[in-house]
Amino acid sequence: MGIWKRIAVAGILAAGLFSPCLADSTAKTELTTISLASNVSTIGAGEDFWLMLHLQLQPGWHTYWQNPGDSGMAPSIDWVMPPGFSAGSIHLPPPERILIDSLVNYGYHSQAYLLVPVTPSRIQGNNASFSATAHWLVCKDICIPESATVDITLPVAERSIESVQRPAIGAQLAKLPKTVETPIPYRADDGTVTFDIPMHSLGLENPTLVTLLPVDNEIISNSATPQITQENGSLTVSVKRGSLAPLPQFTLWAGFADNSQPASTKFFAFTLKRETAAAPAPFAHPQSATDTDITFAAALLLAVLGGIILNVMPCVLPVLALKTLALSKKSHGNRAMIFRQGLAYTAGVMVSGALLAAILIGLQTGGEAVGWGYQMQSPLFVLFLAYLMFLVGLNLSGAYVLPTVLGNVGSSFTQKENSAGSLATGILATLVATPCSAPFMAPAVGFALTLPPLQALAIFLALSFGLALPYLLISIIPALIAWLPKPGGWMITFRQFLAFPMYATAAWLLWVLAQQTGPNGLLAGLLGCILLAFTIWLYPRLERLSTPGRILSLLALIALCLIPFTWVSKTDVLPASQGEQAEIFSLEKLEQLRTQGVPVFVNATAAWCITCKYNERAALDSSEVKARMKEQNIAYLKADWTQRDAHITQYLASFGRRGVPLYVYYPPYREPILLPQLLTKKKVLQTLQNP
Amino acid sequence: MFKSIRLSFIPALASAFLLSLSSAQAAPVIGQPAPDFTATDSAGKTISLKDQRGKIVILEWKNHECPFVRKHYESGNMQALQNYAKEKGAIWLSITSSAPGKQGHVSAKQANDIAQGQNAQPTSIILDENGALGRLYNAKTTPHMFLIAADGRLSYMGAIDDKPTTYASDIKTARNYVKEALDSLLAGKPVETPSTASYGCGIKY
Repeated sequence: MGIWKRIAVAGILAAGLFSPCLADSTAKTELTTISLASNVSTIGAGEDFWLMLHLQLQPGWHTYWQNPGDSGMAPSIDWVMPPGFSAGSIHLPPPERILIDSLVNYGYHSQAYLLVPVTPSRIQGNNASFSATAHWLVCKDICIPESATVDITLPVAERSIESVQRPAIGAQLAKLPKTVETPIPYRADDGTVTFDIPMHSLGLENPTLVTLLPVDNEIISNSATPQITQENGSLTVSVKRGSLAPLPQFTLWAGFADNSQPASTKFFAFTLKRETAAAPAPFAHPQSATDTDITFAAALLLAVLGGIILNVMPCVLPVLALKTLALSKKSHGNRAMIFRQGLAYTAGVMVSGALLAAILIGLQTGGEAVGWGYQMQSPLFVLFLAYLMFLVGLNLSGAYVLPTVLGNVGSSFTQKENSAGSLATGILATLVATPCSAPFMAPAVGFALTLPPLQALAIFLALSFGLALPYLLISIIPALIAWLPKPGGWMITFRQFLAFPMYATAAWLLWVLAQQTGPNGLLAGLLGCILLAFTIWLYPRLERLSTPGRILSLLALIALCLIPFTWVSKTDVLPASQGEQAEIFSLEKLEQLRTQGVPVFVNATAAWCITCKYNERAALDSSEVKARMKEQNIAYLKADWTQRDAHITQYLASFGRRGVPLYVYYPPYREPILLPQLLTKKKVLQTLQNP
Repeated sequence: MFKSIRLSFIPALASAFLLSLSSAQAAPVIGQPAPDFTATDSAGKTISLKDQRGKIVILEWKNHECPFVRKHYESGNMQALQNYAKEKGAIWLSITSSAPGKQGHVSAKQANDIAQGQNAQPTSIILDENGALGRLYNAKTTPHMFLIAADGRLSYMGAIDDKPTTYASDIKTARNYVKEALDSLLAGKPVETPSTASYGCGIKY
């Protein structure tokens, strides 16, 4: 070739490089011809435009939609774009349903159009080149994956200019569905997905549903025929579920033929949201293994009984024992006085009981997630109770003596009338009773909190009455007093002995505090108790100071003792702990396990709940129950209510309960079974027996 | 449009009905006992699911010519998974449900030769040319994976991993659902993702 020819060829080739229309905007693979076009021939600065990939397939072959259906693959594009341009996702017009044997695919025969919106945010230079490497799957009876790269270069200017492909691209864009903003609720129960389409929102005159195209695969079955009923402008659709668990939300295209315009099918894109009913499936009416429906009268009786039994709990027993023994000293005194003391004590108990109840009920009416044990969820209250028990213990040990006007816990050697003292003792008895629970108390109190305020108050009063009853009886019936042992020196020893149950209760309360706030909280509590003891020891030695000095010192000491409270309130509340086999309870987890058909055992417990601890020890943590749970792949969820947890309170409330313990067993795909509040190994094994 | 679907649904309905007569449970459900079956493998042995109780069983639907299956075999991914599962004491059944004359259909000898050539060592290769086993499990694609726990309950069904493409380069960044499910079962924990939409070529029934 002569040099001039070479220059000419080079020149033509060079010209080709700069020519905007000669880019490889078309490519051919074995089964497809693919071409890239734009709806603008010149890009306008800041104006969005569309690029479209057109796939022309060999006859008999098809390619896929964004949800390919039972098999296949959605197309994808890797873009190379200049800086300042960004491509949106691929928009595909509504596909055909392609049936192969029993499989359903969504795709296109002959022609497929992939529409991509492009946003120019910042433009440099006069030209913009776009390179698309597309990957798609072409199938007939067999499938062949294909890919190709196509390019387009477009000039950039102030304003855009339409291209000749604009009408063709516009026609494809017009087929895209109209998005319906408001989500439609759907139910997924007993194997079908059901929802209502509000026809009036579509703006069509006389629409008929002709096709459903799920964008999210396998929520509904691709091959099942939907059941459609039309009623009062609302269309109810019910389709068999797919193989996947229903999502909280999924997208569905619905195609309608408008009978007034028979030619075209109009598509709408709906968002379907899973309906959460007021009582969702996992909480449907439980088949109760025990009668939790006690009548009001029965609850009152149980409350009185519970109150009586409370007297023998380690928190209350010392108070009662000493108070009772003090009566034996007065056995020579007049019965009327003794009776008055008994009444004063009862009044003290019932008034403070009513006050506590009023606070609980008031909080509940005010919307707080209150349950029995609510007060125990507060580390501050737990610390307060620990202090109280420790202080009472110290008094019993003889570390200090309370002024008689306040009413010594049983160390009154006087025969003076001391109704105020009895009243105060009654209040003390109620206070120390709060952390203790007794059998029969829980059902009665739990029931009480579900009742209207007045009835709830009545049950709490019955409980208080039961608490006061033993002492009241003794003060009324002289014969009982005669039974009491004669006073003697042994009383001092006995009194000192009774300090120890109080210390034990304080220790338990500090353990609860440790569960709630960790080792730091425990340290705060322990230091607080030491400071209390120190204050008590130091105070008498301050008598040498002048009165203001004494008061100031006392105040300083009290302030010291209060510091642990601030410490405890600042420490991080610990996450709920669980044993090795248990998982942390959450409503989502329960729901998830239930949809998977996993049997679930829920144990709602709290660190301060003695009944719960007993049940865990006796039944739930036993090797037989653990083995049975492992064998049957039962998921063990622990709902730890030691700390305030509104979700757990709500869960308890869904069973009509206001406190712990609560034991629920969910057999796979069946209604939950409620277990009694006092468990035996046999009962648990029996319930877990039949899945 | 729905009318035409109903018509072509009839053969599928009929076979499903017939299947339901032959087995206690016609559809696989996570958490429920996996449908029991008895089949003949490429070595002529009879394999029955209930005899495998006490061992984890993995079902893999295969069509050696499908590009999605080839992605996992040519990269060695499927073979590695088979060996890993067998090391952990699981039974691996490689099943072909392609009908005679359709892509992927193999005779016993062909199946064995192909496996040997690929260095694939499933416990057994099952030839399901009448598609009964495939339909029993609602298997739709190749590959389509099922994991059955030692107590016979279905613990996983769906895709082999979360990248539904034909590119081998996607394997290393993909989340392998089968391996995850297997590891969970071995550790005695519940399977995190028990069900996914499978991907691949349609099974050529």
